[in-house]
Amino acid sequence: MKVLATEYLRVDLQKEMWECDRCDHVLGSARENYKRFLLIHDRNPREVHHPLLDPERYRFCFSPDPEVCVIYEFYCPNCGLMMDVEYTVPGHAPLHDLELDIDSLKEKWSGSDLQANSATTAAFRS
Amino acid sequence: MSTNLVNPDTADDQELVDRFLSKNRAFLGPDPAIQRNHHVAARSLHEEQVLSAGVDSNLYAEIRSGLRAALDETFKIAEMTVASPAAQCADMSTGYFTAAGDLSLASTRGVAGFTVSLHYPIRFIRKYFEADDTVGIHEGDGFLLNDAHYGGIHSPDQHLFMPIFHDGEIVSWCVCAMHEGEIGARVPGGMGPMIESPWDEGLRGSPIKMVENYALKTDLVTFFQNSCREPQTMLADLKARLAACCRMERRGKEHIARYGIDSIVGFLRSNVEFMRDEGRRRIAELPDGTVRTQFYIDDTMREPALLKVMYCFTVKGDKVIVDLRGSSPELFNRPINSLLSTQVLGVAITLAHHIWPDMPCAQAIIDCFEFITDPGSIADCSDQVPVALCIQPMFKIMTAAELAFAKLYFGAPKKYGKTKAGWFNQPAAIIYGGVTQHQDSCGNMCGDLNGMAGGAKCDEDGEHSIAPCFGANVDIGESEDAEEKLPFIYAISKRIWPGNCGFGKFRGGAAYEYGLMRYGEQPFGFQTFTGGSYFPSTFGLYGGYACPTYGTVRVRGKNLFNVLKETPELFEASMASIMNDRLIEGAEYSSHSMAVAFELYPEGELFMTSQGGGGGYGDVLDRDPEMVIKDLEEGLIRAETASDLYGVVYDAETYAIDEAETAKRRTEILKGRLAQGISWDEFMATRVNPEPPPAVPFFGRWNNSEELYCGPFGKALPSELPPIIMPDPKDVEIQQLKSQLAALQTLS
Ligand SMILES: [Zn+2]
Repeated sequence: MKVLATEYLRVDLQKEMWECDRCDHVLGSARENYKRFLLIHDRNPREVHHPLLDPERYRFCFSPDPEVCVIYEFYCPNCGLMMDVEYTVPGHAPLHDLELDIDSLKEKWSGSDLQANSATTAAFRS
Repeated sequence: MSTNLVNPDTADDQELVDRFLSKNRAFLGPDPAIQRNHHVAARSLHEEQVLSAGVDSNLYAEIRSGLRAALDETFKIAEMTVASPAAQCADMSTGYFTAAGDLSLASTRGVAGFTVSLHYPIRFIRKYFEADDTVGIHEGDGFLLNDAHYGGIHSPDQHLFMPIFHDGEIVSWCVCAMHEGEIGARVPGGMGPMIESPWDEGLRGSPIKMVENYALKTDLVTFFQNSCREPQTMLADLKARLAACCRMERRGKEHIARYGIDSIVGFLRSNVEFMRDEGRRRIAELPDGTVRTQFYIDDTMREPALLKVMYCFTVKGDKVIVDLRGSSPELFNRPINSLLSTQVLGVAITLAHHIWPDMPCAQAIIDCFEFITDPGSIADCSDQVPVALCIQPMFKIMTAAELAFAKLYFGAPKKYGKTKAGWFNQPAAIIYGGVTQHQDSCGNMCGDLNGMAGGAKCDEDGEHSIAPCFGANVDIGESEDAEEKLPFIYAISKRIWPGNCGFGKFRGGAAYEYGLMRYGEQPFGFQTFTGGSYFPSTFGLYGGYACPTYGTVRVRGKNLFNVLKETPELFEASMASIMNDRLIEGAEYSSHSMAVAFELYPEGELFMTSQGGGGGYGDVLDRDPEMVIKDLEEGLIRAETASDLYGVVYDAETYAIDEAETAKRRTEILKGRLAQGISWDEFMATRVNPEPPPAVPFFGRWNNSEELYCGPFGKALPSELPPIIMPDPKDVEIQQLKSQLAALQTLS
């Protein structure tokens, strides 16, 4: 029995493991922070959000300030899929954003089938 | 009333003491027992009698339709007669409440958020005024409220409450609530960076009986008009609210006559209980778990700062604990603090608008939520600090709740709304004030505040500048209408610029830039009070990127109407062209944060800014290349974004996609990720620091610190926070200049 926890992460409820929903790679214990099992890259936000105004001339150029903002990108270590991005302050630890109670998940969702339970998302998975 | 009249000088001592103790309170300030309790009241005896006898669902459905029609009718009456520009854009709501003050039914259109938080003042009025001979509650009374400490969102909103009586008993309340705008604050429009204390916030209307015998009291109306910049608007809107309440009361009584009092009281209460019980049932469907979000409010409105707001939602059985601890301490002299009631309100609005859109918007739907805070923080501030821009932290908890429940619901067997990324969440409006071309004084905001873009959804892109995060059924108003009334023109009106959306498999909605050019000789100016200039304000979901950051930009020192007349080819209605090309000789070009204090602008000067985009959804490499090219053609993204970020290879002339090369480039990007990404342990060892960066003052918890950082005032445990009184940025600058001058003098 497997359930989707995010667009890209699923939980094997019997084995209690996080898995990549793209490449089926088994990431690690579902009782731990999934981010521990991913590759992390700290990215300068200017690479993603190009300035609209000339940054040489204007401090406020409609692009995040790298002094106070960094993007943490989290990749599947097997296929490189970007499972999450986190905008944070440089030097801050990644946020443990999702902590599902696996026992409760088993109890409440184990009757549901993976395909049926995510009809919307599954239908649009490429 | 006359039967109770006694000259206190003739009373005996004990009676005098009793009377003194019961009647004399130094100040009927906001009551924490009311303000800190968002839960549904207990059933009254009458409600218990009616509901214990059983509920006729068909009858109640009929009553619901009738009362809903009355609310929509009265909403329209008010909308067509108000003068406040925000209310004309539907920033208002009407509603029926139970006798105890719980919201039972609100109008379909408008911003239900107004009525959602109005049980507080009704409870206050009943608790303190009902038995007070000098006030009392009578048929045909109307109470006005605008101070958020007694309920509602913020002071620029004004609400009128009218009791509905039956056989001498209060059986219901009706309310017409709206964003009025101008309330005689230190700055026009009631909100602004320069508000530094509660006493700068203008009129602070605790519930005031403004209406008796269905008529406005002229002395009080005159006082209110005399205390603000827009006396005509004030009067027009008081009348509009009264007309709406009178019609609501009439319709309420017609329903009582038709269905009987028991059916109406039973319906109003059962609707509240349905919302309460259904909210709890839906929470119980979710698995237990915790979802955390943290945002940074990047501006105190006077200086850059990183004010952390932490939101931790824990589902446990049929309850939700919302833990706001770790958020920034309150700032004593900056307007961005929020009351707990404002944060609670934000959660209710989000649940109703984004997570359970089939549910009515009322506080009852989050009856099973509990809130934990650090009192004295930006998310639960004291009564001593200004809250004029409480919508800053309020919009943050709204996005936090949006993302938290998107995550909790992702794999759920039953969802009530579509999974999506963060809506834009800043009040990106220009506020104006001064004298109009019609010689009226004014101070209010542009309807552009409502032009926020929607977040990307799990199966489609977000909508462009569609609606504010707090209400689906409002408008941005007409540029021409504003130009007719106010001394400016929209020199740039609703222009999309590339990069103003969160990128992803599905992109967030884009938002527009706009620029106001002053017209006429009269004194008139602008201000803004928006965050998100340094650090993005709203976030994406599951690998989708955030919105970008924004600024305000100006062209000053030159009358651009002359330029338009003499050399029209030098003016292009585009912020980027104007600022990057700088074709107009002698003009001063400058960019600023999204929070700039009020200043006067002479004729022909240009003030520009932008509304914000929605967050993206999913990995950018999952986006259909055709959709990337369409974004490029529509000017939503830049060429570099299409090729470098989305990895699409195309012909720059024809935009034809090279599928093979695109697949190759995307594979290279994936490989690049595997090469550049590092493990958790390495990341924690090499990237994570024990202290926040020194570049900008930091406020709130850093990583797992017990203490809260207090910017320039060090750090302290939440129970021992120092008063954070920020120096005036102008004094700081003068001090720096003096030091530089002294250093230069020493050199010479
Ligand atoms: Zn994978």
